[in-house]
Amino acid sequence: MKLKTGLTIALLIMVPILAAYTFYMAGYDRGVETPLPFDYGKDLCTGNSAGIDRFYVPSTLTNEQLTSQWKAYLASFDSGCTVTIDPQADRSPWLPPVAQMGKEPEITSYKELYLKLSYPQKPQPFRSRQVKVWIVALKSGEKKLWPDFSYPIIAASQPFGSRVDLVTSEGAIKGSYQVTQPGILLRYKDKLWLGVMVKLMPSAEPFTEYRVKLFVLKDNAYEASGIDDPYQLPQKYQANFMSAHGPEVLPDVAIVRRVWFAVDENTFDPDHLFLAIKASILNQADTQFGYSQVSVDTRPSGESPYYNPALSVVDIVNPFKDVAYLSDSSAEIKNEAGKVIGGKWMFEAVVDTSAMKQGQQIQLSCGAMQLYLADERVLSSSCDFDQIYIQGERRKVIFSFATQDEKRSNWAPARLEYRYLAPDGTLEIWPLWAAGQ
Amino acid sequence: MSLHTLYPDTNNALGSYNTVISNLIRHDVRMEAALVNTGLQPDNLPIATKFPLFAMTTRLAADLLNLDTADALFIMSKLYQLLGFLGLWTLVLEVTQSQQQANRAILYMFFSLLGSGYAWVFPYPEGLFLATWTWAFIFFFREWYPAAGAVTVLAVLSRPQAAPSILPAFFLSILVVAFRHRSLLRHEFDQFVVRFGLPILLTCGLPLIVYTAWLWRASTLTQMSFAPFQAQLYFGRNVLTFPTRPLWQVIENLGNGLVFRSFGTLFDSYTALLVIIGSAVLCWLTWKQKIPIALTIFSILNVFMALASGQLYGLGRFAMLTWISVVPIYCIRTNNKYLDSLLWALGLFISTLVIAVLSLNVNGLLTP
Repeated sequence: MKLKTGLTIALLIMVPILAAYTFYMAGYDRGVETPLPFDYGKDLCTGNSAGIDRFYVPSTLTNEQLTSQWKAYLASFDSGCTVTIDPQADRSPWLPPVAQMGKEPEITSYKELYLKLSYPQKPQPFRSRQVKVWIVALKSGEKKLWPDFSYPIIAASQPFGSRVDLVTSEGAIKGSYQVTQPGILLRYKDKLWLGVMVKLMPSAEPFTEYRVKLFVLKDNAYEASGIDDPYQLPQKYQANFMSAHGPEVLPDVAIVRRVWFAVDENTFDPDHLFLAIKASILNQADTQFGYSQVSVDTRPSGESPYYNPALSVVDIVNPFKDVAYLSDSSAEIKNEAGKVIGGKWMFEAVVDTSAMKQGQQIQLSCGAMQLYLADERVLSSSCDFDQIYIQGERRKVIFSFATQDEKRSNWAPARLEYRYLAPDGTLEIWPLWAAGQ
Repeated sequence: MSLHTLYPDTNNALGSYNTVISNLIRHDVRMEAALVNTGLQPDNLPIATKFPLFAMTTRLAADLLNLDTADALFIMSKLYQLLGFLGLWTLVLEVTQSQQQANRAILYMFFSLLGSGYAWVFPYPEGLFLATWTWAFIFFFREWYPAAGAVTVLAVLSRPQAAPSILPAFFLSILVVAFRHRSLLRHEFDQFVVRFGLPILLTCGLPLIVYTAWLWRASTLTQMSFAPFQAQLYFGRNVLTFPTRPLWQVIENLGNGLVFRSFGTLFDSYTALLVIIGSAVLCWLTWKQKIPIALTIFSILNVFMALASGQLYGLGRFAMLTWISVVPIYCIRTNNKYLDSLLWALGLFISTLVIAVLSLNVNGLLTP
């Protein structure tokens, strides 16, 4: 009986107090930030696209509702910057995908939302930045957020050539990397490819995995697709290949290799390129992305075939040397009645295969040797020349072209070129001769 | 404008990660932590689904002991779990008069066959709900009505399903007793007041007032009417609906022969099947007067509340905190320790599997 009475009295005293406390405190903000991991703000502020990319958006959510909820979530997170939503930047309609988004084949529609990132510690004008977030509807039915990370990435990037530490969120350095050479740009199979030479160095523990990303950050942020398959590249650039998403890297043995990206020609800008690498270590947190600026060799005499027309992206180098128009051998063709019915032109060249690799051979095609006349008519050479050459040969060859046309005024040869079709299907055009040069 | 109009077909909570485990650990707990730290605010409506007692007592502990919110959440959840398991043990002893059954019940609750035992690992408010409803029923069965009422007040502030399940259970239980004593109803008014009027007032009326007050308080703070229920829409749940859709889903899944379309489908169907069987057995045991009707009503209403959200997911977590979890102690002989051990191992395995599969987030496992 004593227990029952005592317990009842205790409960009757405690419960109203507890209930009153609960009711009152439920409306009272104690001013403590929620300390549990919740990465929206952090990911937005540090540019961790891998984190942001996972977020789903309810299918019927309007921008207005989204902004209100994001504000609530982000406001309580200590992420180095604060995130607010531009109240004017909503109510935008769903739009069809645009090529500039980079991943448009996956997207059915998208709309835009603007977030304002504020960095109170930084001087003006770097204190705040408005970034665009795309809410994209994917063909899989999901909706995700893709943010524009340009400002955070630029702010966090090291200059080209500097060593970039790969640091965990706790600040532990797990390795580093360095962009060692200017990037190489080339066009191959109607795509633009950028190769960036990277020196990747784990510290004490091996990287179980690494990821490399390339961002083009000019007016907006575009992520270029890194490739894992070297066979997408021309054969001569397949050597020293480093996958954009790679397996284990052992400590103390730095990898110095070239990682390749397919870049969009519409958005590519060699002056606004940023490389990002993150690594995983066994039983430990992944490092954050470390950013580095990337420069590209844009010199006309440099290493990039895109900027240096003398460079070929395929293995067989142009074997034609000392090409000359044999004007004295060229002549009109007359019929039996003495009427001019056509013309004949002859060119002499040295086929020099000394630059080819040991064991290589080249088979010339008579249809690929083409002469452009002044009226842009194209003639293919006759096939009366040796067509197969092995490495180390140097032979003089005569190419002859003939036409049957009485318009003699158009007969003047304008230029000569050889259209080399590589075994991998790549068409290389070797300019051999041009009138007046 | 009601949220239902705004969110007619919301599939995912905003900001939820694409794995349930991430949500279990980060989202759920963070929501609880946000409630601890900020209370209810109009600009954070999703946390209005949380009832306040767990968060506010955690805040009290954090402030008094100068604890970090995360630490306080963990400590309080484990403290409540201890109270909850003590309550369950005492309640089973009260109902079955068998210490052995009470011991077995603890393990059937901890290694729940419903696959929701993982809830005991994370800092969730499950322990508080278990503690409040078990002790409320203990006091109710012992006819300590003021104490039962006081603990029920705490219960209705702990989980949204508490008031709609405990109060009708108490009310109907008292009515059943009243009908068995019809003479009291006819002749002895003061006896009626003492035996039935006062218990109903204390165990149902008072908690109902507190529950209503909380709905009003939460609605005022969030500036959204019936906030704890309307905010369910943020999580793809309906405010309140007749559970035809999830039940039809179960039938459909069974009709498809439980083909492995996804782990989610399989797990939902398994849970639903177990809950249906468990509920049926519970009703039969009540008919046989082995279980007080109040506990059966409470359990069935809990399941009903879970299904009334229009979703199957979460059913296991709702049903686990009812008498359905301890049904096996009535079905399996006390001396059959091998079967007991096997089922506990199975419960542990399923819980672990849920965590493991959802952690791995293998594409296609979670959703069809």
